Amino acid sequence: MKFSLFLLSVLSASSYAASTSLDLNDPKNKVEFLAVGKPSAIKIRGEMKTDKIKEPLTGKLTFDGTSVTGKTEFHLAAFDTGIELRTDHMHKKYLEVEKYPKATLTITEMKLPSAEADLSAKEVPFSGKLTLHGKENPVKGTAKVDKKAAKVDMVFNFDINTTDYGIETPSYLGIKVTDAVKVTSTVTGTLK
Amino acid sequence: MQKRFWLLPVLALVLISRGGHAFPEMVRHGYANCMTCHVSPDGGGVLTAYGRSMSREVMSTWGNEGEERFAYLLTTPEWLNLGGDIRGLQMVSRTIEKTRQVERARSLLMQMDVEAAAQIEKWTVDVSLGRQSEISANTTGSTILSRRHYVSYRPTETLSIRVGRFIQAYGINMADHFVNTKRGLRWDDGSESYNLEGAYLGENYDLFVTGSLGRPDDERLNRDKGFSVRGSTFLNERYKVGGSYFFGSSPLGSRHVAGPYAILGFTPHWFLLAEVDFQHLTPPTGASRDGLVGYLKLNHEVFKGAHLYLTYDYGKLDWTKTTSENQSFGIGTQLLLRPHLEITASFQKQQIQALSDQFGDFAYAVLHFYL
Repeated sequence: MKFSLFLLSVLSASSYAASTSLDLNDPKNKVEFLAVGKPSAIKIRGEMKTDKIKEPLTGKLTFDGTSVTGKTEFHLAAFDTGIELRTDHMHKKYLEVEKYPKATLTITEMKLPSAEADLSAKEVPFSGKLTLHGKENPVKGTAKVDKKAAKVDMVFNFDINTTDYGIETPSYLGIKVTDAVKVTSTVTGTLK
Repeated sequence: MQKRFWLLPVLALVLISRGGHAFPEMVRHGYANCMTCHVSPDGGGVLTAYGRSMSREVMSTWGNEGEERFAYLLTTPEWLNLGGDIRGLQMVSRTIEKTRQVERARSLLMQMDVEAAAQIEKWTVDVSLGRQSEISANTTGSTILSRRHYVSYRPTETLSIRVGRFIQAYGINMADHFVNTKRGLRWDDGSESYNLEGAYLGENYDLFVTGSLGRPDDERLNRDKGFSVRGSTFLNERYKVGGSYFFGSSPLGSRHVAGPYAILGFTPHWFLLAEVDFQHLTPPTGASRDGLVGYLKLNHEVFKGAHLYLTYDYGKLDWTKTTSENQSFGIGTQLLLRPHLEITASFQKQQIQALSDQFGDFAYAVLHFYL
């Protein structure tokens, strides 16, 4: 009985010690997207700017052994495409940021190859869900994980289809943006 | 003959007046293919409605609603794109001719063209009409001509077939047509020929194959008959690197020209244009000649519509003759303060070995209004 209690307490302690979290509120953390305008293959990159919204991305990732889960919210008004009119159209006409100011990415399943303190550029699959423009859809992608002790760098890549989120296909003077959009989120920080 | 060498820089600048600007450096904003903004698959010439809008939104310092329209006034129907160029030049030069220093100054109305492109479904018909300056030692005149006229068909979004009169795709299609990679290779203003072109314009690659019949309507122009191939790939959204090959023959000889080029948009505010070409020319008589031309332009957009740039231009088309060598380097500015209104000014140190081994001064300003 005493041994069982001891074992339970050790397991509980080790389990508690293995569960750490990564705060995503650092302004260095970001989400970007890449879309293509047809017919002439314009590459449209949307990047987060911190001049209007100081913390465009918030949330937390929890590392529990080899499992990573978490949730992040990001302000869609922080996205900038590099061309003022295009950004304005994106905010007002397509993403409707006044009505839907934030998107939420929830990581529901992601397994690191090992629970070791150091991982070098390991690419692992993840699945989760994305809420955007008032609609939620499952997402699947890959995350590249660089981990050295408590320092973590991660790059999440996944594809979405804007029509799945009820977003009108953007078009302007004969150029149409394809529905398939590549999304990349880069996060960095220290596990606590 | 010697005293006419002063004409070289003037003639060089007149050759700027190729109808319609191309802005390959828009790669730095993710614009990999020219057809977003231009009707022509290879860029230059008449703008699309999107291209007009971009001139106001992306390229110009200031611009009000409606300034992107034809001549600031006219909104054309969706199937019709109109354009045109009015370009004036002021230049001064100080050249060393043997031991004598010669200073020149000149103003020119270099170009006055209009161009129309009608697009009906997958077909496009494009015709330009304008005047071309003609300069001799004592006079300046002009003739009326159509630099470009072609019909193109786009069976799919990524394929284009074009037949008519235009300049074949080779190297970087840029406004600086007085440089060695254009003028030096005889691909400058007025060098349009009758061609059949097939192009693939993909998301990550493009390829142009052009067969040229030269100028069967005017054989005195000695235009090459032959073909060219140009391909490029886009890297990291802001970089375009590629290579070109040309074979042509004319009464001046047969030649192979080949070389790489790069359009590197380091950031939305910094870009580099670079091109090097090698030419092997076999004249009708005498020994064959090998040579090289190259051009570099490093540009910084200080603020929207205001550019500062450095250039280096080199040419030596006969390795065995020092007199075939010329080079220039300089600094310039390009101001796009309002949509379609462009002021370019440059100061160059220029060495033309056929004149002297000393560097002379050469400065110009061009005022360009795209209708």
